[in-house]
Amino acid sequence: MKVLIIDDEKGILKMYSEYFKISGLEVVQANDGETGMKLAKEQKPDVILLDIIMPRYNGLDVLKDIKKDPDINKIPVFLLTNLPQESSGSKAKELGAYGYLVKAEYEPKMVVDKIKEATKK
Amino acid sequence: MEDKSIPAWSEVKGKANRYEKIIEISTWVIIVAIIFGVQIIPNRNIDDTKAYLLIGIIIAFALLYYLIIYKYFSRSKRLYIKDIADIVLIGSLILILKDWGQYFYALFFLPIAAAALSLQFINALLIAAIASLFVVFEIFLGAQGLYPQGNQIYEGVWQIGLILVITIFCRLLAMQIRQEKSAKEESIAYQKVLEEEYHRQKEFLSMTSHQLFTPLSMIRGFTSMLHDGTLGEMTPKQEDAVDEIYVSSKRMVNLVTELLSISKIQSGKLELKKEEVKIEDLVQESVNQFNNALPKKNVTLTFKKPESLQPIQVDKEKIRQVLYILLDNAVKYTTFGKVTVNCRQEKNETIVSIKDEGAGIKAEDFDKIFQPFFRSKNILELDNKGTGLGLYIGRLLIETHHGKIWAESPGNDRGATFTFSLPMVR
Repeated sequence: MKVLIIDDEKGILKMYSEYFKISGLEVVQANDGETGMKLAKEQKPDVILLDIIMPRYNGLDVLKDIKKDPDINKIPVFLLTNLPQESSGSKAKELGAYGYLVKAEYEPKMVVDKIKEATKK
Repeated sequence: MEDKSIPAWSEVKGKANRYEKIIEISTWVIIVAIIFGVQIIPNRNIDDTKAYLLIGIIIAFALLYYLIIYKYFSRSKRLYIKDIADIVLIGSLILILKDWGQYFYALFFLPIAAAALSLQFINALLIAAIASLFVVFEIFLGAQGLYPQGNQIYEGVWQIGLILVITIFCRLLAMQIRQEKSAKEESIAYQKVLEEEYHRQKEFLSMTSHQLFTPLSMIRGFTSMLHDGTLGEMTPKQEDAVDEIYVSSKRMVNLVTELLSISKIQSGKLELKKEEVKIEDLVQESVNQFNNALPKKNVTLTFKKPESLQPIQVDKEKIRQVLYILLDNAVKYTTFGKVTVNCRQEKNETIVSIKDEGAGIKAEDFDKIFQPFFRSKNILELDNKGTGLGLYIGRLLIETHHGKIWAESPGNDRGATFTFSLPMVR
C-alpha cells in the first residue's frame, strides 16, 4: 500500500515515514504542496496525508485541487495537522477530506491504524 | 509584538462619518442656489449688494467650516455651530427678501431639503410633514382672521418668528434623528472592528496551538516509537527513561490542549455550535465509548437510558467533552465498584448525573474542586498525572451553556456524584 505524505516539517516527514516503512507501507514524501500535487498525479497513492500550514500552497488548497482532478479525487485524503479541529475541521470536511487528525494526538501507530481503516472500506 | 489592541472609539467614528463633511455643507449650497434662483426672477425686489454679501458670507463660512471647524472641533460642538449658522443664514435670507410674499414658501423647503440630503428619505418626509403642518396652521389662522394682515411690520415680525420657529424645530428634529442614525452607524462600525479583532485573536490561538503542538507531536511520536521498540532494542535503563519522556509528552499535550481550551472560553472566543441534541443518545454514546476502552479493573459503568426526553439545544461536542471529563474521573478514581449514569428532565432543565463509588470528596474540598489546578490529597494518591484542569473546563463549558455543575459526596472514600443541569430553552 502506497502512502503519500505532504508536510513542510522535515522532522514530521522523517518520523511518519520511518514508522510507515517499518509497518510495511510504501512511502512517498513531499516537502511542499506543489511537489505533493505532482507526486499525487504521478504515483497515484492509496492514501494521502496532508499538512495544512505550508508556505505558498496550503493544505486546504491542495485538497481542493485534488478533489477537482478526476484522476486522483477518489484517493482518501487525511489532513494531518496541528491546527485544532475546530479551526479547520469543518472546512476540511466541506472540501471532502476523509479524516482530520491532529498530530499531537495521533502517534504514528494510530495514524497507521487510520490508514488501514480507510483502505479497508 | 505588534500592538493590535482594540481601536479607540474615535477611530471607528471616523470611518462612520466619512461622507458627513460633504453632507453637512450641502445645506449652504442650497441656500446659495435659492438666492441665485430668486435673483434671476424678473421684477425681483432684492438688493443685489445684500444678496451677494450673503452669498459671500455663506461661501466664507462653508470654507471655514470645511477647512477648520471640521478638523478641530468635536462632532457635537461642530453640529451645534452648524445649526446656529443655518438659523442665522436662513434669518438673513428672510431679511434680504423684502417682498417675500411670492418666495415665502420657498423657505419651507430649506430645512426639508437639508434634511432630505442628510437623512434617510422617510425621516426627511417626516420633517416635510411637520413643516406642512405649520403652513396649514398659518392658513387656519388667516381663515380665522387672527393672522395680521395689512400691517407690513407686524406681518414681517410674525412671519420671521414663524419661519425661525419652523427652522429651529426642523433642525433640532433633524439633529436628533441624525444623531440616532449616526450612533447606529458608529455602533455597526464598532461591531465590525470587534469582529475583526475576534477573528484575529481566534487565529492567534489556533496558531499558538499549532506552534506548541508541532515540536510536541514530534517528541511524542518519536518517543512512542522508542517506547514500543519500533526503533530497536534499548537497555532497561534507557527504556525507563524513554517511558518517562513518553508519559510526560502525553501529559504535556493534554496540558496544552486544556490550557488552550480555557484561554478560548475565558476570552469569549468559544463559539457554541448549538444544535438539537437528544441528550440520552449522547450520554449513551459516551458511556459505550468508555465501556469499550474500560481499563482492566473492577469497575462497571451503567446507564439506564430514559425514554421520551425532549431534545435540547446545545453544542454537542462541548457537552460530549464534559461527559468525557466526568466519566473519566469517575472511572479513574474508582478502584472497584459501580459508576452509574442518570439522565432526566424536570422543571425546564435537563439533568445528567454520574455517581461513583470511588475516592469521594472531603468536606473542605467542595469549594475548590471546580477551581483550576486543584487536586485533593486523596486524588493525588490515586493518580498524580492529571492536570487539575478537567473539572474547571467542565464548569466553564456548562456555564457557557447557562447551566450549572456541582458535586455531592458523603465523604472521603465514600464515592461522589457529579451533576450538571442545562436549561431547556435558550
